[in-house]
Amino acid sequence: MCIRIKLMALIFVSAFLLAGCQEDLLPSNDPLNSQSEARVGATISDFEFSLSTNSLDQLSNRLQTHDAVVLYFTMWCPVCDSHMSHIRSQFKSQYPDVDIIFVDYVSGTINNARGAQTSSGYSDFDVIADYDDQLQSYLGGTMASTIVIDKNFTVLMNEEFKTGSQLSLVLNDL
Amino acid sequence: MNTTFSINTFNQFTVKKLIKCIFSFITILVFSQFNYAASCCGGGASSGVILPKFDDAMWDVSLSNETYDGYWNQQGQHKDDPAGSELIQRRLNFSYAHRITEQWQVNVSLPLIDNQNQYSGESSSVKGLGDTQVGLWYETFERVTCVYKITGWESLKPSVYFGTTLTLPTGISAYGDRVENSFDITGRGFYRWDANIIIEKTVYPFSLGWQGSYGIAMERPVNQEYGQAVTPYDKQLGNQATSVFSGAYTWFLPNLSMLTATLSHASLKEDKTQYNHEKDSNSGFDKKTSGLALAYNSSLRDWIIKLSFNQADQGHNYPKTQTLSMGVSHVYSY
Repeated sequence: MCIRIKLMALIFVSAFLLAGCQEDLLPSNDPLNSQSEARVGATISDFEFSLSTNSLDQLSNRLQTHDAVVLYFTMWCPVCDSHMSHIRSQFKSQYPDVDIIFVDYVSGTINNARGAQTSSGYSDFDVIADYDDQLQSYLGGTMASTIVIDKNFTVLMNEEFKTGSQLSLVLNDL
Repeated sequence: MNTTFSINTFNQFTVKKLIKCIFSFITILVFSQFNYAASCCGGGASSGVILPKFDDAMWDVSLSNETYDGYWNQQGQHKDDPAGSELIQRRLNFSYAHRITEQWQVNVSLPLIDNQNQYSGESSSVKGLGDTQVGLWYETFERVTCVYKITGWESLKPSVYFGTTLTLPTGISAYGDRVENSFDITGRGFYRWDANIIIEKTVYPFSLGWQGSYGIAMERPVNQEYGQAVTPYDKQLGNQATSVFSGAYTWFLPNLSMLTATLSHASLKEDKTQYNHEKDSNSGFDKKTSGLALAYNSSLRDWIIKLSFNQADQGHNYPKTQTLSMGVSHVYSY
């Protein structure tokens, strides 16, 4: 009996020691150097993308008529929905010279991306169907990634949406 | 169930033996409600175990399968997941509880998380340790409070437990080195401290219980998100409140084993997250869950086999899920 109890205790202690190797137990605020091609301050290359309307477009084309492009990566989840709703109510009308596009990086076809966009209630936005994960890989996008690119193809912001304050700061400085 | 039979059967046991299994059922089944999942919302946590009054140690192993069926947005409207998606989180939970004095006990729970995310254009399978919980509990009562018949005010006295739980961020969170995208997450990345209370009353063969808890997440610095360096900031999840009401009925089986069915209703609410002390209006969530559980307790009262089903009925800013769990517990008395 006692041996079994000690064995259980040993298993738990071992698991704790293994878990102790994880960085979340001792979080840090030391600044890190980003290795991403799309890090803030980097100049990126022009790229082509498919819209959920089944048409092709290009970053350079969008920047000809706008001061900047904002890409928001969505997986149509509750967090994403809150952010997209916030973007609609707070940013779309306030920054008419900024092109805001949602990037669907989870749907495998343009039709599926269109379906997710419609059923989620965002037909009033342009949605990129990143069905081959090209943008996801190039820009390092994932859930709620918000990327701002200016007319010089410079990345001004690449981080989680959070409260929207950082996006406001960046767009106000354009 | 024949009540006369159960009372006669009871005479073949010690009071202590029978009562402790009722406690086992209620506490184990009620605790199985407290699973927080969703890889998109921050991974999974373990559930706790509490020792029956007269036992000294217990281990518990349970397996949960949580499937996702869309989500509720901030207005509480249900929205479907994208076509072709199938999202599942499985949790293998190891728990151990140990009595340190007559009225104090400690426990620890370690979950192993398996996220299976399938979209029409994306699939991932991630396994890893979830967030670990360590608990300390105090039983306010020295003698059991279960009765067969209400004979006066004294017989109405419930069992009350006070507890505290510390959640350790041992899972893979969005803020560590080992994550590349949101599918990899198995933990929330925050220390959280919870204060808990359980009030339970059994008048055989019925039991009623309520568990409440209030948790405060510690603020932490963040310098990367999903493996990408970001300007450092401080983040604090909102405080979390949970409440679970449960009612149970126990059948005493012919071989002197017992079967208990428990119906429960749970609510969970988390306040808004703060970034550098600024509240995020997009965050915070709540959900209400209904559950049905069955537990079989062996005639020697040392093994418990349990099966439960929980379904989220409504919520805001949270996925709609269904969870099927099964598990086994073994109790030791020295």
